[in-house]
Amino acid sequence: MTNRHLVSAVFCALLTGGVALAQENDPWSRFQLNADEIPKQTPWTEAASLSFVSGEGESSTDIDIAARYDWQIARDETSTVFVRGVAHVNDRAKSEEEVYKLSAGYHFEFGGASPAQSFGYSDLTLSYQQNTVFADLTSDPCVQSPGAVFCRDQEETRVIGAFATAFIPSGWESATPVLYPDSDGGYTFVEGSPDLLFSVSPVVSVFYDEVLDAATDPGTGLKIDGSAAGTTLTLGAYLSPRVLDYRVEFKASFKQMVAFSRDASRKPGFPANADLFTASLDYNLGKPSLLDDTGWRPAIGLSYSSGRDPLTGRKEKEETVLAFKLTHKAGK
Amino acid sequence: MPTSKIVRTSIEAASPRTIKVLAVMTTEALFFAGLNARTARDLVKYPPIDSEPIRNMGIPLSTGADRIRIWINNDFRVPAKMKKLVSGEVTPKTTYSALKTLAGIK
Repeated sequence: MTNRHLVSAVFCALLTGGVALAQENDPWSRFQLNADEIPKQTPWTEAASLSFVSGEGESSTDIDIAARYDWQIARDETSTVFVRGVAHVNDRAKSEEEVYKLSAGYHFEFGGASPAQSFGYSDLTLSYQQNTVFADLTSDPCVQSPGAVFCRDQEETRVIGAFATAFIPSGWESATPVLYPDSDGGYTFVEGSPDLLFSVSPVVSVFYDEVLDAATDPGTGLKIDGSAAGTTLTLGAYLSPRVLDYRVEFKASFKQMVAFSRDASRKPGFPANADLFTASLDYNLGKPSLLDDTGWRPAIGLSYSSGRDPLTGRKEKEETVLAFKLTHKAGK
Repeated sequence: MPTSKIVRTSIEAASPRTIKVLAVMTTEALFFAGLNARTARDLVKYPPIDSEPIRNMGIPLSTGADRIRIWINNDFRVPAKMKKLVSGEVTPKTTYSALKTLAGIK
């Protein structure tokens, strides 16, 4: 069984396990499943996904999952400690990505009960990450020495420490749609529903990344390890107009990474600056996701991403995908 | 006789059981009024039913459930010496009935 099969099996188990755990309503622990590692699940956070695409002469697997379990540290505290498992796997040609991460961390929040107050969520995390460095068989070193170690896919391991804060300023989000039960057992919109649902929030993080076991670099033939430290700023946004009963959803995020310290050995592979932009436009064929976000949900969507993320090993690439999406969300 | 004195005299004359009923009614009224102040929906005009999720009531998109959780912690659970609720224990899907239970209102 390959890592990908194992992760697919775990994904399915977690999806059903998530239902069971949520229904238990255990007051001391919480379980969350999504695709991102930010301290707070927001409307622009992508849902966990597992997709198999079969085309002419090529099929591919794409997995994005971050499963997290929290424990309350004391009865009179809202802070928690957590463990998290992350997998980003994509075996589509020229977009290959394989990252597994295991994290432990401390979560706390700040802010008030009043909507007039800003709100924030912070995670202090230590992670062990394994990612695959895929060989480029068309590169000059591989053409000259096809049997070299760097012409095979290589494993790289690293330790990453990070402190991340998701901040939601007062007034940077709308209210949810306002509904009232009708006589047919459904719901109707009543006064107070916003014309535009929106949520905008920044996530700031500081990180330290140490390569423990590096892949062999094709250019130098050396294993390039060492450390890098820096900061990232992610700005995420979610928009959904009231027309079509909020069925059209736009999500976008822009992540800018700036490294303020890099060992000389890391400089060729870890840039001083990197950015990653993702956006998606979805039309929900069933109920709007904000009105009924559990169970199976079909949608047609256009997704775009551009850029690189040295922390996850994502290479520079630009992708546009138009797809029929069928997602399942666990929950009560 | 001033109204405040009438109320005080009535409470002093009430049985322990009546006092308990009054206390429950007061807590429930405070809960309802507090929730109404935190939702875009006018809960007096459109009263909540037990099975409906709080997201139907117009709460802030990302932080609404957490703000309600903090309010329940501060105004109901801490005074009752119950453990504080943590992130995820109140979600937009939490029903009105479940929220009342979390606030200690049976």
